[in-house]
Amino acid sequence: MRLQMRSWRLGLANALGLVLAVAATPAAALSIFTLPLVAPSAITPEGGSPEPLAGTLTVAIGSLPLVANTTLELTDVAVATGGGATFALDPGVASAGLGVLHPDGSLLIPTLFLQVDVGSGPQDLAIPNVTGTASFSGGGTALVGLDSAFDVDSPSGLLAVRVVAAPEPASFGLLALGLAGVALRRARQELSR
Amino acid sequence: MTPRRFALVALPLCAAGALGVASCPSGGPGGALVAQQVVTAPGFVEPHTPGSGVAGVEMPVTLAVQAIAGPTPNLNRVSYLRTHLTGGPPPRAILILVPGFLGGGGTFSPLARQLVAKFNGNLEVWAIDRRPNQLEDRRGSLYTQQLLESATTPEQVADALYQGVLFYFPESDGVDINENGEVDPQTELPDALGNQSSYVQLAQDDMRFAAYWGLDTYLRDWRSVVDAARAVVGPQGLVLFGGHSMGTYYASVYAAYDFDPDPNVVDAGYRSIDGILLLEGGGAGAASASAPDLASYQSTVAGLATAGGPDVFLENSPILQGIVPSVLGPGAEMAGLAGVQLPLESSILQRTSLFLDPPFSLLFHAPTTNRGAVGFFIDDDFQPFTAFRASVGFSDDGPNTFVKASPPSFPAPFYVANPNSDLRQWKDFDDPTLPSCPPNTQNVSPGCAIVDNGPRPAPTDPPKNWGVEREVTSLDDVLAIQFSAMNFIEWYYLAGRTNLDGSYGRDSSALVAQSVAATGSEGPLVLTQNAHVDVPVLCLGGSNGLAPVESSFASYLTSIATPPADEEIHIIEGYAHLDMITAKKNDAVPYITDWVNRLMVRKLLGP
Repeated sequence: MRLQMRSWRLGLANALGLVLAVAATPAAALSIFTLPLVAPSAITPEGGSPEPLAGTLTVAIGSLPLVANTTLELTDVAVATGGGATFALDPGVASAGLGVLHPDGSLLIPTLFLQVDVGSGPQDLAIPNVTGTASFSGGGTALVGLDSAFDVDSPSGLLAVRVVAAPEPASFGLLALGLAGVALRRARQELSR
Repeated sequence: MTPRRFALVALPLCAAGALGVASCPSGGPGGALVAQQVVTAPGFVEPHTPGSGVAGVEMPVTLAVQAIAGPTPNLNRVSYLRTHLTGGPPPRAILILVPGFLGGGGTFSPLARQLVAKFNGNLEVWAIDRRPNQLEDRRGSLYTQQLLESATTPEQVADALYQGVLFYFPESDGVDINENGEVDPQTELPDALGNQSSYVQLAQDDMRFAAYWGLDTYLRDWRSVVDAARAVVGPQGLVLFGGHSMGTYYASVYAAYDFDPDPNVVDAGYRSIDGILLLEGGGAGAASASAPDLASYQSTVAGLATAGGPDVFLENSPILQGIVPSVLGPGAEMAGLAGVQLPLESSILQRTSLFLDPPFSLLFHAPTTNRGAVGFFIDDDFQPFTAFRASVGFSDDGPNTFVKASPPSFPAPFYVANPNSDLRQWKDFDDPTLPSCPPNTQNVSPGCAIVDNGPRPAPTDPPKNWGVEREVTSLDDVLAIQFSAMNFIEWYYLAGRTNLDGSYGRDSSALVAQSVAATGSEGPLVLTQNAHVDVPVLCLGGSNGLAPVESSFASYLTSIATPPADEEIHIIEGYAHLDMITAKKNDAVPYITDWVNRLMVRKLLGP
């Protein structure tokens, strides 16, 4: 009974750690993660000051841990600027955020199809060649960071875009707790064998 | 990591003051940054063709051809209309498209512009103009366009149009194009030989070298375009090959062709591309029972090459009910210019022999405006031939006679507009007052633009139009294409050698076997690889077009080795045949975009 209780507590910790920190729900062949944007995520006009970006990215990864090229797909983008512009995946393209993740963690989305709404209704915005890096923990099974930077050549000058997604600092503890729980449970299972 | 720089099309941030963006590009989505460029490059060196330089084989060139192409023309050239993003990085994908029956490369412009804008330049579209297009005498159209640049009054605009129309269409008793009460001389302009001449309309004997412009020549032209595209996108990029209508036949036989002349070596077309796109056409069919043997083939080619022999290009074909493409083509150019410049004035083209003679005099006799003339010609409700139809609106300000379908000539019903007391006006595709059935009745004047053609057939049912028709193509876009660099109509659509080759459908293995046995070479037509084609295929049809049901594509898809998971079919309800490439906000774009995007990622994932 005590053992069962302990297992339940560890299970809860796992759930809190994974769901609250990185919302990871690993599936057999597809792992899904939701990460909030963190500093220094921003859009910076040429010669202007950065405008922070906030929101979340949901990412589906074809196969973890990384041993070969696999798919990386943004399945949800919910991002906004302080000025009120919102960014979401283009609902008219079924594979709007589909890309490739290499074993070294580098990623490439050949064309990222977004819709932007600056208050006058959504408009298409395709971004070619979005590159970046993904970082993992938990033996390569948990996505803990995305980092991408690119420039947009607009009529009024260059816009530098930086997107960094990672668990919030407060969530790191929960993530660590969850991962520790996983490790502890595995250790117990090993011992009981 | 290295930041990526790219240009924004239809910049959505242009209203975002908070982002420091002050101005927007003009011209609507993609209008400012999507550009088009005519590319002409050396094509396949077909030895009989003027300019080949092959002594003893190269055929002489006539004065008429010289007047158009110069004293020593090289006609072994390939041309395409490149739609791309100005100043952007190289694309990851290039989609090469072949137009359909009587179509010029310009017909793809609306679709191409939308796709390039959608991908923000990461996809380019290269629309082929088949090689006979270089023999179109466009001097009259270009002269009018030159005059229009300096025309400031309505009278000067009208005169510029008359000059061009009078270049192509002579006046005679009863034909008074500029309505001055006189029979005016034809406009003459400097030709490529330095002489003054009016329209040079080629005769069959001016183009006997086209006896050697069959599939082999076309496909080798396009192989050079594919290779050029591959050089741009690299081995990890995509080169996709597609077509519209009859162009789907050309796309599928490209994939099936063995380009290597050695019988022991295969260089299959499908291995040079990453996918096939079929727009409103089912690809190549099976061989005809009348496909000739090698001796008969060679005899037919020899006949086509002989003065006075069978037609090498389409001229007076019963298929066209008396319409001559080399008259229709210039008429379309000038009608487009008139429709843009003097849209609401009485149609100038209706005063030419093109409209005064059958079949136009029977089908399009109601006096109308310059815009209306093109609208009536191309609209799915008034154009009898399904292959020429787009959904550009309607005209209901006068009586319309309903004409029942009478296959095979007229497979679908249509209206003939009759005169009202003034000029019949054209209502555009987005006019909120376009009539529907119900409440109107289709066979009671004025009828309706929007008809419900009934429930969707099962995917395996025989092709049949279905669904509620839609109005989706802008007449303004159609008008602009008519006189663009790669125009709407192909004036000299080859029908001699290409029809001979077409009789083999997608497989000429029997002919190749005969040739190898007789000569050791693979012979004149090497369609041997169709059964091995294994690249992804996207098929798009219109429920009011020529490929309205999944079964429209079945014959081709079951003939190739592409796995079912890589065969994708979508039918767009309400689209007529041309809407698939001319629609303003084209429903084909999301399908093509998603298909290309997934193939890009697949290629990057590697084997």
